[in-house]
Amino acid sequence: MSLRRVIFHVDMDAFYAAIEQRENPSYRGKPVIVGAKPGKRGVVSTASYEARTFGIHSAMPINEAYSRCPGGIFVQPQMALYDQVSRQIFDLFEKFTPLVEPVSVDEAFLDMSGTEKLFGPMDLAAKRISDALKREQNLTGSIGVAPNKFLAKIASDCNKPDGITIVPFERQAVLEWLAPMHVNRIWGVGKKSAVVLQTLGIYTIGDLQQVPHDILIRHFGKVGNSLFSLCRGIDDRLVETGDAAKSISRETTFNRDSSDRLQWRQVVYELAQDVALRARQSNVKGATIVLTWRLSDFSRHSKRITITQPTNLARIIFEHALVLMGSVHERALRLIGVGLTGLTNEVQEDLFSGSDGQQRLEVSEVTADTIRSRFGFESLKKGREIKPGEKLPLRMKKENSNIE
Amino acid sequence: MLFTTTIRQIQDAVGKVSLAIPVKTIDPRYDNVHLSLEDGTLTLFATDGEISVTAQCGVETTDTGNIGIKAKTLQEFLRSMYDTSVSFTINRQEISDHGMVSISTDKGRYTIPCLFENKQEKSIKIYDITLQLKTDELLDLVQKTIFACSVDGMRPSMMGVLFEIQDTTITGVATDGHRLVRCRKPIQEQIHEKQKIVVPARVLSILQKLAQSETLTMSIDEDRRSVKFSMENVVLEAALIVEPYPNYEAVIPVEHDKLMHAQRTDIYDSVRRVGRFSSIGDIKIEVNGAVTKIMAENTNEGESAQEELPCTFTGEPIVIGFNAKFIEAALAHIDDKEIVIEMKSPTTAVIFKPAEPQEQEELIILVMPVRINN
Repeated sequence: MSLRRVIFHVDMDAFYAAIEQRENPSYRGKPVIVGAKPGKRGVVSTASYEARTFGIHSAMPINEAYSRCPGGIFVQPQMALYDQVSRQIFDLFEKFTPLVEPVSVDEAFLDMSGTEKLFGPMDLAAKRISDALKREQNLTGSIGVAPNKFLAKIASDCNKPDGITIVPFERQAVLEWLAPMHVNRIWGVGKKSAVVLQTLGIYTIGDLQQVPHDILIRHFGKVGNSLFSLCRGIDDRLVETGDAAKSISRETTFNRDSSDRLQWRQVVYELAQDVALRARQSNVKGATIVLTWRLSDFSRHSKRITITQPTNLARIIFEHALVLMGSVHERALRLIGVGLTGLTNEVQEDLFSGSDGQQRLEVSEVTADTIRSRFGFESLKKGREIKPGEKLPLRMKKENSNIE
Repeated sequence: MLFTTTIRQIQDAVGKVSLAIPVKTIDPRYDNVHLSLEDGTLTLFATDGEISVTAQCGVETTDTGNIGIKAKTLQEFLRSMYDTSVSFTINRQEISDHGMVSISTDKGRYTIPCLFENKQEKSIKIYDITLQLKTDELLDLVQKTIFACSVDGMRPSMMGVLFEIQDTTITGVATDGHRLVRCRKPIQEQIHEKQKIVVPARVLSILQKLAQSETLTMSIDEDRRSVKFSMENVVLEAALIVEPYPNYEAVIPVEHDKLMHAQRTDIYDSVRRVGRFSSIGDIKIEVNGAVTKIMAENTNEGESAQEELPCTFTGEPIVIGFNAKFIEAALAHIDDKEIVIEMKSPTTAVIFKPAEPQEQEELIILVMPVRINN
């Protein structure tokens, strides 16, 4: 089954830095480093290919990047701009196939199975996407073409930047193509697993292909199953589109790392509002609330809590996210995100929904949606959303005394 | 300090008191089993600050003293041992509260650290209500209600079983907001003034493991903040949930116009089988005349299932959505072969109860439907 599918993995080249170079012609051909300000704490977010020749890479401390390339152009991230470009790129992908699975802002899987009549053979279709990115966005992306997601992801990394790599579609050829690669190219093989594999004398995917299934299960438990399949290029996971959304989440990156817990709380509240609104618009509720945060070294962490009654109410999401925030003991955060998963459009009725205010809360939030859809999102705010010194809308000024 | 006992005896006592120790704790005070030697008796005690278990262990000794030993270490050692005679010799380090426990058996010598402690202060709580209960009856009440307790920390009062005691009846009620169980049983004593306490589910789950004697004593303190279960050689004492319990009586429907009689195991097995085909665990039950259809589907995977069962039904046809797990749990906690399911509408609570109530027990289980949006 897996060998009949045609999956593309498109990975944009040095995405943030490339956008900066596109927006500022004077940056083109020069080393551009997007990240923290030199002299401050922080790391490189993205480095242009010119900067990479100096040995600069993502997650490198910014001061080390500066010492390697003092003449480089150091810019701070403009997340709003990158998000906007990202949306345009995904719109472009959807012109080629409706089956687009976003992996992050700058990479996606495209299920191109059965599109030969529309866009030609797979190499030509990949070329068309690559050309469209250049023509419409003035950006480049590297494309991996393969019978499944795992192989496509490896392939897109083989010929960067602006490359197209097509993986063989025959089983034996796939085994041979994978064999010389290091085992850490396999999803799920991190530093710890790599060490265990090395103690077993396994360095390449080819070495792993020789290991019997029971030995892998003995050393890695359930993960052994996926190692056994992946090293043979077998991966039956489907490209999952946003249509069957499994979660709704929003994130905010602070302009500079924030250690202000009140600010975290404020952001979590705003994100909870946004997530709840999206859930209500999609007519779904979620039972698991996820709090995500990123530290200055870009490491991502998350905590989740599952509630018995799925919700799409901002207050419930906020209250649970606050509980989760209580277990965040970091000094400063770079990013905070709130998410809702375990989505369902079927509602488990509650015996006490009328008595504990749940119903009233639902009515109040739906009413707020109606007001906002008519007068704009900013037309209705809670007191906690108003920042010190913020200019209030005229309507709110008149009724200032009513603000909570 | 020196005492002699058998591995089986001390293992049994340590196993009982360790039930009070939380699996994960960052508070070292709750890591220890406390051992107290007095009047030729060894008393063991452990707590998590809310729940405490005290157990007695038969020993040979003439000494007195109090020590704390890390529960995990002691338990792991005892678990690895075979039954034999064992001597504990405890020596205190100079100018220190720390000491060492030397454990001697027929085959070996083992040493673990301990902490010398002051004598545990006795509880000054006054228990003004005391009930002598048949252990089997109480455990049956607990077993039939505890499954419906909430695990949602945002609804603390529902994280326990409400016990209402009045006249010669004890009523257990548990709910998580989606289902509710009410089980009534007779008691020997006569309690004139209605008493209401909410016992945390964790306490009852410990009680299920501890209660082995034929009868036990349940005591409630005068502030209605603590409960004590006294059994042979073991006492379980715990803080009650003080948040007000929701008015559960108001949500029990009094009128149903659709009544269905069916075989409990038939429905249970069918729901289990069909429920596996649902993507999110929901099923639809359609009752029309003498046939009940149980249906589920997983549209993502193109899977579906439908079973038809005979039943006796009076009322207008109805289709109701349910969480299959809730139905399974409800049916698993009814002992009788034949059940009655009372329904009104697809959005009101459905009642499951035995077709022929037992003389000594009244049980009803409410399950709220799932509203299915197409």
